[in-house]
Amino acid sequence: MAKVALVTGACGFTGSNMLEVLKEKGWKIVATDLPQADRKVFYHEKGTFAPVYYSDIIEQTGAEFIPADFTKKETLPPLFTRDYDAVFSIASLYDYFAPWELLYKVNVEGHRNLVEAWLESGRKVGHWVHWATDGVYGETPYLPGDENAPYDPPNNYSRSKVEQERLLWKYYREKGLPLTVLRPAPIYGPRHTYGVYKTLLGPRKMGVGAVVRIYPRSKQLMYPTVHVRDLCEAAVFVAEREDTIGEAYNVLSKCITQSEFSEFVSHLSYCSPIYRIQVNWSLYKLVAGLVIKLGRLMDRRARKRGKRPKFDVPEIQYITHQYWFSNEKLKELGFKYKFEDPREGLLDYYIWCKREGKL
Amino acid sequence: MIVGSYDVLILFLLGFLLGWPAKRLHKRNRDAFIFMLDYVILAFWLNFLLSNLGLISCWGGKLPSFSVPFWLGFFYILSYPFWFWFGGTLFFGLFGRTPSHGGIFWALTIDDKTEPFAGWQEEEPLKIADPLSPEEMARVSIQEVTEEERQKYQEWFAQPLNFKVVKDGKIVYFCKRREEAEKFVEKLRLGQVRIVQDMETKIAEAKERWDKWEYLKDTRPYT
Repeated sequence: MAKVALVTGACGFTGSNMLEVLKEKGWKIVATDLPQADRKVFYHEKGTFAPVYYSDIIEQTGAEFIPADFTKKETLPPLFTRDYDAVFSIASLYDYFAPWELLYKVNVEGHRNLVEAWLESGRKVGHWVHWATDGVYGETPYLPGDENAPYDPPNNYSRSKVEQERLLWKYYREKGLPLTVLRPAPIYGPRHTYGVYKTLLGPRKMGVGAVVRIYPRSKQLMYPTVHVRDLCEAAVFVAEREDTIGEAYNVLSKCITQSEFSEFVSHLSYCSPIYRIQVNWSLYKLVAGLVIKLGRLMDRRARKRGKRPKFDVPEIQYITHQYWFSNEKLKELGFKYKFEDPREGLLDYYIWCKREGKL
Repeated sequence: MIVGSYDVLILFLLGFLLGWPAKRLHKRNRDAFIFMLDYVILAFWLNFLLSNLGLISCWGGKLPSFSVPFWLGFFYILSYPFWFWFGGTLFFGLFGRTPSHGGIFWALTIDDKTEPFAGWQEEEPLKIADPLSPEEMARVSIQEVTEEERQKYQEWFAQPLNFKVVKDGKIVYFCKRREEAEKFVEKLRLGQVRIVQDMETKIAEAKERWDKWEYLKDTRPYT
């Protein structure tokens, strides 16, 4: 008999890919998301970043759609009128520009409502696979950081994900929530138009590339990413194993250096010329610090004009932060990444972007 | 302002000639050419500065020099890196930038003397840390977490804190299972993990950031 899954955030970027993966694997899918008009309430539409909503995916995958709003508890009981083999809890507000109050309302209170609705229903859930982020670590005290690193979120979104995780671990310990936490690196792949997308869009729009190589090389910063396909495959992989309950897993490709990443992206984006800059670490820190200050200034100016900047401040902070994580724990369980080298995944994503006219 | 008469020509030729060692050195350091540029330009600017301060004669008097108006001289010396760069670019265009490249001449030769392309995985792996010596390893231990430590640190971790790795008297790792601690120690021994901060410092900083929460200002709503 086919396994039954509930997928939250099903019409978003990751959710829509999850639906495809589950369909391929023969799962019966119940999908939930906000009605399209409501989604706009949660995302800032002004400026360049508009909320994405892939409602066609419901029909394409033959999923059953039950609209629900996590922030309105009364909309949630219809989701739990049956048992599920797995709940893939993807829905979250992922917007670095969103105000803290809104992030908290959706990412923390919304998830509390969802779990409470399940508890009140008395229905069985075999596995609750929750989407967190490797942003909960910030910079880890040892490199590469593994799942045992402490929380130290570097921005509002990540902080809301820490609060969200703490809440769910509490339900795991006290109410028996069969929880597995996935902590993906920045996700990219078909239908993605935020975050990693901007690292491709930036050089493509500017037409010039910059490859900054820091010396000494031991100070080189890393850029963690994961292809959405690998992430969704990983979610199904952990959902099918009992021994993953109560565990957290980083999900990411092998980390490559930011200079390797920018070299690759510059070539991919037809940049000419590509400026190769080698710089001492102290000087780099100084200049990068100024760039972040400039980013903050642009952010403030944009807000005053009722717009959003091309790059959100937390996105710019990648140039000074060492985000270097290990994916060993998941691999030791036997999971195999399709895109272990992020450049292979980025090529796949790039082709999608070209087809869609995004780059 | 005194400038060397042949500076531009010499820089162009130097850039072209140093393209060859830069190409050979590419595998060891892909920035070799830019490093050479730094040092050569530094030498030329130093010569310019010292000769204009009257401390030395331009190129020791062995090469001709001439006097130019200030602004002309200023832009002339500013252009030095570009001439070196042009020379190198011409070499790379003709003969290739790396041992895997042959430049335009690659198409004009019968024998292929270029090296095979390096795969992505083979590109200079980043060194994480130095392996620990037996003496250093003697100062690393695995211990059980005390109740006091658990109360102090637990809220910052998802997993229950049962074991810790201590190095030089400082906690560098917390984990749930003893095997995880053993694996971490083995990685330390092999130089596969780099300690950036001890846990006490890290958590103190994280706590301070959390309490102050300075990042709120980044996401103020629209005014």
